[in-house]
Amino acid sequence: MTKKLMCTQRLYSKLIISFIVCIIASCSNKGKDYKDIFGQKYIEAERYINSNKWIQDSLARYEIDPSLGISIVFPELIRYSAIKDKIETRSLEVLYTQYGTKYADFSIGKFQMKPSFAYQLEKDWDSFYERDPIKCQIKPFNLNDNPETRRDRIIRLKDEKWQIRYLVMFLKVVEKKYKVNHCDPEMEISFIASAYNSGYSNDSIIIVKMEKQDFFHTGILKPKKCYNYPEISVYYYKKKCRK
Amino acid sequence: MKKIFNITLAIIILGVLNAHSQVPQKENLYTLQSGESMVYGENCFNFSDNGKEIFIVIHGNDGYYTINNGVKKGPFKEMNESLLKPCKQNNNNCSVFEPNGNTEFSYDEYVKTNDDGTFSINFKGKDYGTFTALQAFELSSDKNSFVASAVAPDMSKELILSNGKTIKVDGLVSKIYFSPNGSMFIAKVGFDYTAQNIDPTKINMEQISSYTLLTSDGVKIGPFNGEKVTESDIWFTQTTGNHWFIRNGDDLLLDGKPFMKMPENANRCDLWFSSDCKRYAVTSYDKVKFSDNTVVPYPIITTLFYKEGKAYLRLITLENDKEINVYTKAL
Repeated sequence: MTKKLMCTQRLYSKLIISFIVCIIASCSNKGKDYKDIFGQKYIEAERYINSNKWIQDSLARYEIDPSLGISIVFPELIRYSAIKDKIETRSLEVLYTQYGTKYADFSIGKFQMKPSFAYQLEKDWDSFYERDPIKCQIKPFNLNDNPETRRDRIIRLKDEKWQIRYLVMFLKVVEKKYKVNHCDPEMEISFIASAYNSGYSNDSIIIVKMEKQDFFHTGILKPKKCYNYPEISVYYYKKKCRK
Repeated sequence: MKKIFNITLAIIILGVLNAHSQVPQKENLYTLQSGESMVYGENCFNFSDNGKEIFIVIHGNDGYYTINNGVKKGPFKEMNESLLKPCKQNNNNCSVFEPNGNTEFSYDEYVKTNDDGTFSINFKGKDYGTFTALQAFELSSDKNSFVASAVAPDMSKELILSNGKTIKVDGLVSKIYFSPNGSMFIAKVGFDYTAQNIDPTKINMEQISSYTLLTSDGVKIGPFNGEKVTESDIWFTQTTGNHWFIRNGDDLLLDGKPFMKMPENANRCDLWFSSDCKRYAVTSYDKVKFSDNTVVPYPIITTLFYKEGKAYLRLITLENDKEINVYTKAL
């Protein structure tokens, strides 16, 4: 009897230890300090946002919560800070203008948007927003695929004001396309950040699945250790809200 | 006799035309084979041209290849950092002269704060000053000369030159631009809000943001509206020596005088001038257009290089989806 009791106690203590280990593991995973991990690159990204108040004003003018909008692209700002000295996109811009995405589809600007992403957004914007009042602020696009329209797209993508407009269009299109949970801002940001990072044209099941994957890094080539893009967005949002 | 005259005339005309409209020299660097493509990363293109050698990375059916001045090596199974390295060298797409060195670092290195709160400069073993305040300190790219903007003990403002000269200025100097060889400079002289005799109630924003430019020859140009003509609208280029440019809206000024209209959609980096500024080329995403109307389509790499003291543009293109060509033309 005593032996049986001891055995049960041992089993319970094993379970409790396992449970505690699980909690610690889960907490340490959730509670990554990204400011500490990315250091100077994080600070530079934060500095850019703080010294460009017009970004928040612009988002608010388009009826977008600035904290939400900035959180979605914040990991890209960290990446941009890390690789900005290695960026040389002129050749790719010419190749895209000349031949289109079959030759070059690459990330441009602080929010690291690709021409294919911009083109998809322009298409969706033109079709989704026929009666939206915001529509009059961002006029329909010429969707013909030729060197002239591609050149204009590159010029837009390199313009910071247009980068914000593309972000606005993305948020509006995602809101229209998916039933985003507005009750929990962190869940909302996590889902939208995953859509931004993995491709918003994907099915919502895939976007949710990608939410858990660690693809984010700040190098030119993919390293062994990657981070979770939506988690960084949520981290920035939570830090911003606490202030 | 008439026939000989006509032939001579034709030769002269052709010669004149050729002198003004040199067709770019074209050479095929490589023709992509079936299944081959040029390699680029997320943010850069693995294609470098430093004026001496051209390096390309391509991807074929069995891996990666490098082509260095026409010599093909490979296949390499994986893309690694050493293959990506040339990306950093492709920084020759801009015609603007960017000075070497860091202004803050130069200030810390040469400017000394004295115990009584005054400032002095020690440059190449020679002392300058003392000054009540030092607002700007700019070193030439060859580090052989400097220009500093100082407030003298009698509160007058002056430029201090490394050759020992001083130039009186009637405002605050916010920026100094050195020409590439350091033999000339331009100072941006703005509103002096530290002056004793100003009445704050009578100052408007336009006055505060307006400025004049003062050249090392003592020529004063302006005023300019600082809201419209910003610091980046004033520049020296890599190819025009002491000639300098100002963009004032759609107008381009050369050495402070009206010169030409800014080409449509062009920014300052896209304008390449000959040393006498008589000929030029404008680069854009879809072409390089020279002032003699010669056009090279879709230049993916633009490189400036010098041969026998003359500046040339080298333009690399991808034509018909497969021919990697290089065009060379003197500015």
